[in-house]
Amino acid sequence: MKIPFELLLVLGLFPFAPSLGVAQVKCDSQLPTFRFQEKGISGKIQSVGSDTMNSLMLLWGARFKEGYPSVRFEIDGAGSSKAIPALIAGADFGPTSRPLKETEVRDFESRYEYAPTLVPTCMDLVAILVHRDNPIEKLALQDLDAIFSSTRVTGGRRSITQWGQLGVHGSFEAAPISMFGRNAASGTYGFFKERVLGNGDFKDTVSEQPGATSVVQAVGTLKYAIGYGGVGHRTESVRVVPLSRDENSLPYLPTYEHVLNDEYPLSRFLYIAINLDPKQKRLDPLRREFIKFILSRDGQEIVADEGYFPIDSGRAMKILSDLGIESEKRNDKATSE
Amino acid sequence: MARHVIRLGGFGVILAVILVVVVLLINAAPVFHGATVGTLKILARPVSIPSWIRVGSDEHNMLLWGVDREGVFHAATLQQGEWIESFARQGNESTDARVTTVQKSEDGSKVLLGFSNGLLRLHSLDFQSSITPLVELDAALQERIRHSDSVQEGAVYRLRSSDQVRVTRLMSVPCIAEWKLPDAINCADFFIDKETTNLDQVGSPASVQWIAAVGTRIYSNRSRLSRSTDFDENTTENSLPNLSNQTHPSIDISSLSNRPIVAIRIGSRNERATVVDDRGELFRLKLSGNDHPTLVDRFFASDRDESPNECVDVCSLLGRESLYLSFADGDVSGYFEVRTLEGSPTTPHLARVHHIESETQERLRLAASPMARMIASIQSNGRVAIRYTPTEELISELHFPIDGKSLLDFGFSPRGDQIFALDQDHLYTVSFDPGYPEVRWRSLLMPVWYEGYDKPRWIWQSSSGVHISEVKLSLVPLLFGTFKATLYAMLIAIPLALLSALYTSEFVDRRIRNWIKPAIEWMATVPSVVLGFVAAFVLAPLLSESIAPCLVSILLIPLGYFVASLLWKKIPVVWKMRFPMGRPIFLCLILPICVASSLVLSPSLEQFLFAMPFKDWLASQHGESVVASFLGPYQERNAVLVGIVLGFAVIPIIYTLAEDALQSVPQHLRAASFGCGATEWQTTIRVVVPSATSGLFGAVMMGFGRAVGETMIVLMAAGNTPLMDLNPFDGLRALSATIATELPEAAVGSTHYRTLFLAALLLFAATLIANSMAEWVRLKIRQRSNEQ
Repeated sequence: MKIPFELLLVLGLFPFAPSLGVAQVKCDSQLPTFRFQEKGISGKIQSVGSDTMNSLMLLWGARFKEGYPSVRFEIDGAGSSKAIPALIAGADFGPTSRPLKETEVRDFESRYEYAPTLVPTCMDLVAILVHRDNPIEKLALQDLDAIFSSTRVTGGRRSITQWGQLGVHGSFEAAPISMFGRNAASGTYGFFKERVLGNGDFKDTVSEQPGATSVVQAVGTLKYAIGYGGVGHRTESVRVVPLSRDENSLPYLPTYEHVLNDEYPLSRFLYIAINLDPKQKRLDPLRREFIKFILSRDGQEIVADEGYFPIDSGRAMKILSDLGIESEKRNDKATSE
Repeated sequence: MARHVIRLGGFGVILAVILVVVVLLINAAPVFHGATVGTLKILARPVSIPSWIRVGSDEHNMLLWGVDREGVFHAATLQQGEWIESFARQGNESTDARVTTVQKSEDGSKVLLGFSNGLLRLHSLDFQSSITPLVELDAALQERIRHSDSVQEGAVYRLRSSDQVRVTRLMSVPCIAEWKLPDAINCADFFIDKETTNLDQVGSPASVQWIAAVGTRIYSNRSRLSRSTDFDENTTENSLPNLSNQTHPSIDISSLSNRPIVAIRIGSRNERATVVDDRGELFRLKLSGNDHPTLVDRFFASDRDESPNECVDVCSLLGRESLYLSFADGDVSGYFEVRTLEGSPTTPHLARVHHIESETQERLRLAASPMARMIASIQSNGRVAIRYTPTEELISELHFPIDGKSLLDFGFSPRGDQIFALDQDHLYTVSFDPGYPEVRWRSLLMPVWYEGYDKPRWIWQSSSGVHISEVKLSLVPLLFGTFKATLYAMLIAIPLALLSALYTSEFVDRRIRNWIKPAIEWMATVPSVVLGFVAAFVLAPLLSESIAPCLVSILLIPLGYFVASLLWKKIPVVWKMRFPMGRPIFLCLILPICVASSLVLSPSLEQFLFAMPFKDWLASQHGESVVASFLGPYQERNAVLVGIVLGFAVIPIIYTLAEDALQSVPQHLRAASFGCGATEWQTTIRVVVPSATSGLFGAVMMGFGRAVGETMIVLMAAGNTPLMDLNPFDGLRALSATIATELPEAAVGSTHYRTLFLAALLLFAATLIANSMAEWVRLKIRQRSNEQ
């Protein structure tokens, strides 16, 4: 099924419209600028993968097309699990909001004898949200495990079911915690399950919501609720709780600075999987240009507009050089600023 | 002409339905195919090389490697057992040391050797595999490859497709780390994991956790591995540290047991290790990096106290959460750490969870599959039984022509698709495809005791996370959720729809009826996604704030109408005559009055009944009493909310069909009833309803079918918690919502994918049965009215 690209663009943007108003993160000014080559390129880019990254892919595609009008895009956001099968079948890009599963790598390897290459494109994080009146100061990952998990692989002995067990006093003390999370199809769910629950099981009382806005809405209206979701969707009615890796370390709020320094414990890359033979390390011009564009300042500004976190220049350079892409030196405009 | 077109259309519809069923069946059926076992292959050991004590293969099953008593690795082809090359032992240690223990990593790429002189060495099997076009090879080789696997210059060639060849070679078996312990090593285990930092986890160095027993002293340590690519044959020896003055953290368990140690296994997350002695006593150690291990608890594996059962073999399952032991009398038991779920603060403790009754009195050797939670056991007569451990179900049986007493090694290939048995002179291999062992009627419908849980439960945890996590696909919570949603929807829809059908059909003026009926039918045109949206974002907070007044109004509104009708009788007839529209207006006024009074009354009623707000009282209801088992903390997305909105969606269906059924009751029956002096009410209840019963039943069944299959409302309003209680204020998770959310993300052909298709088939069957019953009843009615 092929849907016209423009229609997809409109449809893809529609659900994200409310999140555009969130305070933006400033891009690293050291990022390379992207120059469209004068001779131009043409061809077809087929991308199948993550639903989360669909809007990013569409926007990147649209900007890229402005410079290279003869490039055609086919973008399908069916879900991260579709990325590798599509890549095996010959797609150019497989955006995925989580690292690859072992079985996916094996499937790919049994066809190509080498693993697919993951290109980090930007950063996302999972925020822990509570009602704005909730006085809780901080949470450790183990606390979250004890709240959300039934098997408590990492979370110690006791299941936490009341706010009082987390040291909250007053009207919250005896109140039961109601938990909200994402549905099992989402990358956020898998990420939380792996990073917080140590691949344990969620309690069957964790309410699974079809979208991040739904989680925010539920937590915002329910006084004793806790939920996890992307930080881009938060509203006035919820509060983001500082998180610490364990009980003894410092808690951090999910700000861009703490994410960049890897201090906030629940941050992740959003990737694009590509089929790159490690022996040859040569990408065709079309894919090379697109990846350069994504990791350029223009590409990362789109990331910031969408509520995700842009990559810093150091990481971007390293990613490009790992891929064997010669990045142009910092642009003149940036240095003169 | 028209008849033919209509007939064609009818057949088309039937064909489409059949095709849907066929598609569902095609996708769901492979689940029940069961395991397939290939033909047995026996490879004789080449005479030139010493006998092996442990074997393994590469992941494509092209190469076979074996290690002998000297610690020398050998490579051979797996298809013909043709010897390729041997890799001389590295290092300048004295050569008289013998290998005392061999342990393979889960993926089969690393091997830990323990020697009689206390040396512990970690080897990496560096397989190199590539794909070459057939035409690029020389003609003689091409010809050989077409017939069977062929060896040239140390590499194995296998035809992969008509024009491509896979080339695999065991490049080297470098020792990537070694440690020195004081004396001969009885047994050892190790685990290599990638250090997971938060963001930049790609390419980080791995570390190895190892544990080894020397006599009754257990040594353990954790050390970093340099990247395996940094090692090649030239640098290996120089980069290994000086071993002479190494010390390692240790614990001596001689005060607890002086029996020989059979096995040591590291648990998941490298936090625990279990030491098993030959009486079947388990000692659990806490591993903490580079500190001394400490004893956590000890546990007798066998429940036979009088004569301790001798432990024969130990293996840990995929994921290293469970440990399986086999005993001298043929029993096989599985153990894992049990954490109590709610409340009580007991420490996690090891429990004997699975017990496979012995069919023989023999000493069984065990092997665990690296792909699923399956365990294979081999008897001395060579009979192998493969079981899926969570349900203890027998997946497959096969037979190796081997004498069990001379068995040296027994296990799976790295991808679990081959089973090996090794004796002094032969290697026996059989290919094995387990099919979908996780999906059996028993695991779908019966409670299963999963790792970490305190008792067998019905669990739906369809994580598409890592492959080592246990597959938990019980359909029961989903079926339960579907029927819970349907139950509450029908509780709300049936009375409202049937009573309003009765009202419009029997009591109300034809003009008003012509107005009401389309209005109710118009309700059906609201898309269910809109209803779900309204339910989740508008109704849910509203209901959450005013649940007490809502419940009060359920009592107050009928009561109000009852009182109002008594009042209406008291009003003088003259007044009624003067205002012909008075009655409907009067009736309309009652509703707001009742709602307002329930709002006013509910707080004091709450105080009177519960001495606290209703929601707080609900939250305090946990315990063993009968009431408490039906109630619990109020959840915003709950069955009542689903019932209301799903009820709203099915009311038009039930109403329309019920109204039609009532209308089809012949007019002469009513006339006769009125003629005998019956009132409107008596006629309706005694004459009309009994003769329309089957039609009303059909209407209800149609509504039921719609409620079962409804997706968007339950998806958005139900909270999707796979719970198993009838609590009206708690959420649920329906089959349809699960299919809608999870199918897009399930990998095509995976167990999860096929199970979802099976669930879809069940859902289809449920709605088909409900709708066919409704249709059958309707046809009956039509027949009867035609007869009249």
